[in-house]
Amino acid sequence: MSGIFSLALKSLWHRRVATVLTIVSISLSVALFVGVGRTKEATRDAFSGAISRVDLIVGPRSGTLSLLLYSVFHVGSPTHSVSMKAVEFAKNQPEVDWVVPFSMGDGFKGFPVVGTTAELFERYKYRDGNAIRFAAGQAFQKDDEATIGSDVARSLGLTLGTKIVLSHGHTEDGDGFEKHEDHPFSVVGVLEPTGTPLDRSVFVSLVGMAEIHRELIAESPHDHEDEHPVATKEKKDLKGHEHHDHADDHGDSHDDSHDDDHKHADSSFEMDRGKLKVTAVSGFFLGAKNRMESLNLQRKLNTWEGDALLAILPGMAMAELWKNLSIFETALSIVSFCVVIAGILGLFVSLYIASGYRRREMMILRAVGASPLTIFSMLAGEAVFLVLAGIFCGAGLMYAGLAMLAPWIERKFSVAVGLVRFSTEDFWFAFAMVIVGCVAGVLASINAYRSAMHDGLGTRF
Amino acid sequence: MSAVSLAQVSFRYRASLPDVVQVSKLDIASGERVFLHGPSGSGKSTLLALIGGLYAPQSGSVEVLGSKLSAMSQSERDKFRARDIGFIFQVFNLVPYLDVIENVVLPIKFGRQVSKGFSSAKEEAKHLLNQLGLGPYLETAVTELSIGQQQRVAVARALIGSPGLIIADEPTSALDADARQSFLDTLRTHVKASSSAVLFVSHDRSLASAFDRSLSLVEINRASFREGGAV
Repeated sequence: MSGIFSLALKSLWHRRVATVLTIVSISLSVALFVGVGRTKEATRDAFSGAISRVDLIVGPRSGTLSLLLYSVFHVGSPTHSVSMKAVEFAKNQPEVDWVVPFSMGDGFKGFPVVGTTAELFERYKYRDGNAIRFAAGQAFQKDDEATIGSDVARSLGLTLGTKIVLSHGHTEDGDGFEKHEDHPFSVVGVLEPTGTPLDRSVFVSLVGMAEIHRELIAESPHDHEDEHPVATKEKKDLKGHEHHDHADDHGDSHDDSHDDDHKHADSSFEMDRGKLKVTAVSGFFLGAKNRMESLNLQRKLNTWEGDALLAILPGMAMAELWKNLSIFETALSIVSFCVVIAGILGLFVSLYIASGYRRREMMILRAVGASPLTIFSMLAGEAVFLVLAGIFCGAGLMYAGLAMLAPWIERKFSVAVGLVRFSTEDFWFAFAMVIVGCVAGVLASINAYRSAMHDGLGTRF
Repeated sequence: MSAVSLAQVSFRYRASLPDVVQVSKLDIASGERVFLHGPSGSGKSTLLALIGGLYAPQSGSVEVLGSKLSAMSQSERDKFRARDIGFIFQVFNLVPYLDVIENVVLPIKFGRQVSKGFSSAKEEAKHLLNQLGLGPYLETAVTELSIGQQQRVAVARALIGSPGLIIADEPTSALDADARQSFLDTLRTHVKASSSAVLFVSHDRSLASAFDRSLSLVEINRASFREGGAV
């Protein structure tokens, strides 16, 4: 039966246009299927890798998802704030190792600005504990310094020493509606790419963040109360009286405690620039001395009688987020699955059409002594060849495409797309495709064989 | 040893359908060239398929070249057919994706032995094709040949390896008068050389004179007048 293989190849070559079209249609559906799978994985990795080694994320009481979204993904902005007193409370718990507060809600040319402490760069990890590294420079030290993510540096062409003017109000692109030319920040550090939202962020000190709002606060103290983490401008007037302007008026209880804040404030949070003092933040990241204490701490913070706090476990929140997103994932899977079905139907159609005009060929082969089994294996072999060629071309196509698009995807979406990597799912998929191809080939040849036998040796068509 | 010997053969495609073939006796001697006349619907294609071992009869015995086909398994019959029976059809005898010489050597690939005096299938195929006037077309795509040329390629394929029996099913009906005569001459010459028996079926009685003996299928096949008898 050695001749069967060359017969099959010659037959495929004879019908090369149909052969190529069939392979193309299969490879497109395979490419899409594998591509969707890879994108799904990459997205999932990017999502769950965006934060690591942080035991709790704490913010004002709202929804778990909104807290996760703005604290980790810098999507949306907090509607309330957390007082420094709450930060202090958390920090003073014996189980707590470290606390890094953050303030959100501002943007710089479309990139979110995060007010935080330099400790963030030590504590915050991504993708299984990878540390944040500096491509150039260092963490901000002073309140007029900024450290920027790799995307920010690349897209805006910023380098060390560049002066940037941060604006108030987080806008999609372009500046916020107000600029404060008198308080430029100089770039002192650029982070290495992480493939996380950190790449698209500008980091300044908490006081620096408050600085951005200084004039606004002075000009219209109640305009932005709901949009911003709170900076209270404390200034001694000429008479020496303390005077408070509150940009925040949601937490009534805070008002009487400002002096208190001042006294107890840890030095790392007492960052005066001019006469600004930070009294509230959007939230904080927390590391426990022992991870096992996280649940205990979570309960403690959630039930604290001070601010209404919400403490979430990043892993669980991420899982919840993923569950919410999985409907899109499922939809994507269904679409790609349908494309695969279409590809297989294409294979069926082409084999069926071929089998129609191959009846005669089958009868000739029967007449010269080929057994039905030989003919079936030849036709099934052709189908399997088509499927295999389709799978290889499709996978090749997909990976070539990914290789070309990966840098762009990474830049655009901060999603690191792993290159050639086959999941067990892919292998099962390929295996199933081959089986289906084989079945398609056999069904088509049974169809052809039946009609061939029905023709007999005659010349009916 | 007779080339073909049928006794009390009956065949139907499905149990629910009537018999298509009922032949009580048919004998063809070794090397004999027999013309079988039969209009369409007389079950000739089915009879040829029975003799060629494509089908097995429900009852009776089919013996070809001393082997009892009706007692063989399907795959044994396939092997037997490859080895000992050459087929020529009315039209579309050739596998379209193979060139002339590849078509001719096909039976060798499925088990037929090359004739004595030739070292390879290719050599014998070339020899036959040259004799049939197809020397210049050895590697031509079969689709580029005229129908007359295609039929001669089919003759070469049937003759390769000098099988004991050649079955020709209306091989000339697609040819014009000149081509028909030259086809018959060619067939006669080469069959004589290979001493194969020939069973030649046609509805055209005028061809009968070229054969040793002429039979009428209508007389042989008692099932032939049944309505819808032949499929």
